[in-house]
Amino acid sequence: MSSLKLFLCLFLAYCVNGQSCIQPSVSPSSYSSTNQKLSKSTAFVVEFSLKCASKTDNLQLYADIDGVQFPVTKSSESEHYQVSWTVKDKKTVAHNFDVRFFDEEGYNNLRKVIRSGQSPESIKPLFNVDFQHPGLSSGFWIKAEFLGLAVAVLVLYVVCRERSQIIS
Amino acid sequence: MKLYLGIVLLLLTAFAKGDDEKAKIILVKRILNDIITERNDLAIEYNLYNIGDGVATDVELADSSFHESDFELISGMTSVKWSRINAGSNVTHAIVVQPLRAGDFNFTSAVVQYVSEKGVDVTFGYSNEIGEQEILSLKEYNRLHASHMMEWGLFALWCMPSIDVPLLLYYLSKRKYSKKVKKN
Repeated sequence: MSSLKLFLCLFLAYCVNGQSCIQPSVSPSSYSSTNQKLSKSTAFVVEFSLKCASKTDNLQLYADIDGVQFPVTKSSESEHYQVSWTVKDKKTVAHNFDVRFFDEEGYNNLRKVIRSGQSPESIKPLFNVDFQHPGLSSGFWIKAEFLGLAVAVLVLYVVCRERSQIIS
Repeated sequence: MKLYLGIVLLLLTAFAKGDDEKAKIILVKRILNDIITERNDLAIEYNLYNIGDGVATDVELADSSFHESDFELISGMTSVKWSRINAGSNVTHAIVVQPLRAGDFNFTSAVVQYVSEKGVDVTFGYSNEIGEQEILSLKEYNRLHASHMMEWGLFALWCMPSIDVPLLLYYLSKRKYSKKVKKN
């Protein structure tokens, strides 16, 4: 009984410390650049509001995106978090991102696993967010001027062929 | 005696080095867009580099240059904080806004505040000023960069009478002529 009480006290102390999130509930939204005419670089933003069953005063989150880790920022005013990254001067193609979020402990375990050469997939994230990037594109793959030129050349070809047949 | 003196000197240097471990944050603000247009997304990137020897704690970034009257915030937060940035490391932050009006706009600095050392007051830093940039009107942007499929389609439509009518007459007479040749 006394060991159970001790365990409960430690558990509560851990919760009160705010270092971890119990039963996270996430409402995510995401953004990625899609218009190549406006910018050759792509910006990716994942925002979410987080609700935990425990106190989250000192909660520091880290995101793992395709093997690269980023710290997650928190709004100065609310319980809103954001992770963002950019890819510069490269045409990004359509890609499905699985953004995994870790607390301080999970992040340290992840780094240990990566340093030891094991698969980072073995560390279970606190929660994850999926988002689909449609790819950076510059509109329809064929240009209107090229299409107009192709039609004009076709008409010219038909007319020339008929003319040469009449002459012969 | 000499050993004792040596140890004391070593300890003094250790403590002295410890006192010099201060963080210093450089904030760089960049516009990712090549073209800024009204009613189209504009991505801004902020890079924070800790070039000091110490850990920067309670780092807060705020950019209040995007007023609601001039810009609509599409994604990201303009006021964010990190609990720590280690010495020699950097973090990135991005926001996406949409200008509401065309014309020239003066992009000013963002502000970062952080604690460079334990027990020291908050330090403030400012990013670079991007300066005046032109925000193209939507009409101008479409004139330069839209696909113009509609315009080409209408052009083809107006060309059709002057091409199709003679072509039709030619084919009708060709058919009549070839029928007569076959009969003979």
